[in-house]
Amino acid sequence: MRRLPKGEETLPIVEVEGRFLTPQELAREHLRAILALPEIRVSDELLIERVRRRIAQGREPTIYRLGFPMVLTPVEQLRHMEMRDEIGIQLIEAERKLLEEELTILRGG
Amino acid sequence: MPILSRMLNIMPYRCRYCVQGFKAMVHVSDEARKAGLFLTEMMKEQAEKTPVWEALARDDPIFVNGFGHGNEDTYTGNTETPIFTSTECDILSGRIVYLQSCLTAIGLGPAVISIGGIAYGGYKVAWTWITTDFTADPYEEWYAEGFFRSSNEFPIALIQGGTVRVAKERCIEQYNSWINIWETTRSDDPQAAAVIKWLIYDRDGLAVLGNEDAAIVAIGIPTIMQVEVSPPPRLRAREPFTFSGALTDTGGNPLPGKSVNLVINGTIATTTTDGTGRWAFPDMGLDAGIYLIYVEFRGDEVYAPGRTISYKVDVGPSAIQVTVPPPSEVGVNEHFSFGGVLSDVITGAGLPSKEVNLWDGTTLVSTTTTDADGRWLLDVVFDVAKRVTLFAEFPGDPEFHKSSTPNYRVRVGKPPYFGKDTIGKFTGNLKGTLAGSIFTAPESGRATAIIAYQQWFYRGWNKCAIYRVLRPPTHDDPGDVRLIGVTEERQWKAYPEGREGWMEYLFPDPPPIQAGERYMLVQWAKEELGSDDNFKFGPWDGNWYQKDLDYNDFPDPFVPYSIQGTGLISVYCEYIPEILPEHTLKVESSPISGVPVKVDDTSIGVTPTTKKLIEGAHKVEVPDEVET
Repeated sequence: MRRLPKGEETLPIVEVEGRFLTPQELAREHLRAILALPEIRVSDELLIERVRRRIAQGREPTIYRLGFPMVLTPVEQLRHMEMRDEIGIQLIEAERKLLEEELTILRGG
Repeated sequence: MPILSRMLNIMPYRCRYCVQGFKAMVHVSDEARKAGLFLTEMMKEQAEKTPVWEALARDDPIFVNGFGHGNEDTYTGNTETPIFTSTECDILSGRIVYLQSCLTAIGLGPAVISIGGIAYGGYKVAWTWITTDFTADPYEEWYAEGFFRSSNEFPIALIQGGTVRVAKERCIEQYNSWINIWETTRSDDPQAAAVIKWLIYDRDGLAVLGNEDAAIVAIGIPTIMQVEVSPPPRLRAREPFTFSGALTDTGGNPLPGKSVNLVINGTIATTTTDGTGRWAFPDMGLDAGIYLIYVEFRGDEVYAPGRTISYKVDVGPSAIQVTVPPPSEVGVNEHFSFGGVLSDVITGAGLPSKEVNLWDGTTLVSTTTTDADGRWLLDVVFDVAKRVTLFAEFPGDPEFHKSSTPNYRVRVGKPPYFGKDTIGKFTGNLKGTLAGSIFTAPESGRATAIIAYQQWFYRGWNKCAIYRVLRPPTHDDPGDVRLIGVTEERQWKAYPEGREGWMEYLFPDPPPIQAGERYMLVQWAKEELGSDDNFKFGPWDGNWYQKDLDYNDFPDPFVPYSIQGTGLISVYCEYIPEILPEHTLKVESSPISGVPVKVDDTSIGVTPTTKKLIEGAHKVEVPDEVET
């Protein structure tokens, strides 16, 4: 049975009236309604905030790449995302796809 | 025409990332051997452009599989020199290629297809993974295994007979199955979300171009090329040896009457298997050299190709050892000795009456002959102050192949120089930055070296260049700064402790400099793995000029991004004084004459006109349009 990786339930999945809300913070009926939407648009800021919180929880490891830069520590990843440079945009899009995957899991898919 | 059931694995080993990739590639090689494919493994220092291209030309495999660093247009192996680029990849014509590298599917992949490659698998993203132990086999490393097993599924599917389409599907399916593992049995791991994120990233970054119906495996009954007598690893010149074995199918049944080839460094001899499937190449003898030898069956209508492994045979190996190294510094006209022993590696005996040459880079300095015990001793003297790079070399002959000593850097006297030879108070970073200062040459001659004070942390490369300053840059004017010479590139390693000092960079082709002219001495660095490389400057004794630019060829002209008034960089240029030859510049125009001409911003009249110029870089200008 697929489930959210441990700790991911504490990260925001949606922005409501300027607030980033986690699955834990959303009332069950609200969560169900949100997940029923055909498309959930998320901002870059929400994705960056997810990574910021994951780093604070010690769950965002150093990554290695076959191109420059070859190593990105969690702090470097966050800095690139905040600067929205070329690497930062790649990291934001990677986080977006992870969130899409997690929304699929929450929908029971 | 590339040959089916042959593949070439490119397996660099130059950094810790490559080491882990190397260990993953071993699993692909294992699969290829299991499937009976003709496998060429280009490992470690063989994973470089020249050996790889030679192997592709020699073995002509249908499938090229590589791991390594890259970017949109470049794939590199064991060094920074690219193996394939978008403009130099014609050797991949007619082949199927899979490169586990960064971004190559964006530029290199389409280039391969455009020059006639059959299919290309690669990544349009920076292939990313997570690991906690670079020394581990990634198949046994908790975090890394999903990444490497998924990527390896592409070549393995091809090896097992799948088409490119099947390989792509199996590769994606493998990524998905690992994502599923981290969403189920491993979802309690604190890093699970990050692992899933980067598996998705790599999966979605996979791109396949070209003919997806193509395959690499030949149709036919698999064959086995057994070896009974293999070539020895070392031989004397023309010492007879035999290479023999048998050709069978996988059931052990002999295959008589089949034509098999002996391949020695690409040269082919042919024989036919006897009634028991045996083949033999007896009483072979080779001149001194290093050879790669194997026997192959190229297959026919019924049977698939087979081949032996490759044997490296060193014929007539010699070794040149240094017993009297040259000093690191000597005076002008001061004699010094450089000597050693030339010996036969097989017997250990000294080799008498052999020629030994002394080289300074690419210049032959002197020659001597070994004595009865193989000893050689060179008496060396230089009559000009300069820096030299010396090595001794036995050039080889039919009995023994060549060998040479390491390079020794020697400073002869104190060459004249211009620039700043004191250590600056401030520190600047060369990471992705060109930095230089302007100095005036006191006399004419040829620049031989740039000496720069640098600090190094971990590992990287540096090189320097000299520019002629026709018009110095200012805050309002980019100036006119022209490249006239580039030094050698040198690698530095400083790990775990950093180090610093004056580093010399020699000009392989010393450029001319003129008395009273201004020159900018520029340095540049490429750091690896988050390394750092610094220069020193200041305080407040002049300007330094800067441009942020990824390490590549030096730009010409150099247009600085900023001018810093905080000080001159600690860098100077050594030269050999020389009266430079004059040449006559002649400028003519047609169909009209009378066109004004400027040289180095100074008028030299109208066409036709001449001007005597000292050898070196000059700027010649004529107007784009003239009124008639």
